[in-house]
Amino acid sequence: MRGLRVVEWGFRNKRMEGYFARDFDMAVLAVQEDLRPEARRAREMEAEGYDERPSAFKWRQKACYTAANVLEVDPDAVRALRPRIEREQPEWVERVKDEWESFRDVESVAFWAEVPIQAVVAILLNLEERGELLVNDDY
Amino acid sequence: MEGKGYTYFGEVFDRIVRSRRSSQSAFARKAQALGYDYTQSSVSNWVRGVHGAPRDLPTVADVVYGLTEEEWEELGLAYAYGQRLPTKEDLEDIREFREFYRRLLESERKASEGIVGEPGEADREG
Repeated sequence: MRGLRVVEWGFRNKRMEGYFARDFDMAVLAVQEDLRPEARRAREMEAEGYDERPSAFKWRQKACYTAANVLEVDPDAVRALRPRIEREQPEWVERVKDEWESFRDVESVAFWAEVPIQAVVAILLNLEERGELLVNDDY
Repeated sequence: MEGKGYTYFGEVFDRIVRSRRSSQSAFARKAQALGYDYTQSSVSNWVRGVHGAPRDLPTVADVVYGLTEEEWEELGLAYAYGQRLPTKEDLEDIREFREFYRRLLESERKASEGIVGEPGEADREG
């Protein structure tokens, strides 16, 4: 890993939260300026995931857009987040678990837990993989 | 390309194909010869955004046409963004950022080698 640089940039499209490129001497994440801290942290972790596993993410550039619902979530973002999110943001995991008990839908959990939706999906998939996700109403 | 219904990615790809005096069907045949399951129909669907282009398409295009560095960069950029949200505004902003970052790295390289850069160079880092 050559290291990842984070640079704030004023993209005119406010749905564009970041832009990652690895085809420079040092990989870079241009993160939308004035992004709320949780959204920025999620994009930073996503970019770190891309930077660490180039063989798993073969493209050299990627634009990262905010997702309005679960169908818009970028699967690559989720893949990049899953291996690191529990280690780096354990409090997000707890918040997602708490809200999942009440809502059982990704959009509501993301809203009430104040965790970006792609990170919510990553957390839920990790929990599901370990059999720790409550999916029935008779718990 | 106006009127053909191409995505931005399709426009870039088609421009490269035509610059080689080739065609989508000829490209598909060459890709097949390399072991890829490409057909003229699938290429046509990719450039129109009917289906998302496969991840290896830019690489195959590079093998078939020997892309220049500029073509490779543009095709990669178009592949990454031109299929889903082909807004020229986003692409312009990305190009501007890439130019900034290229200059930033260059100015840092010069500084590390003791070369004085231009005033105001690469001064937007956050």
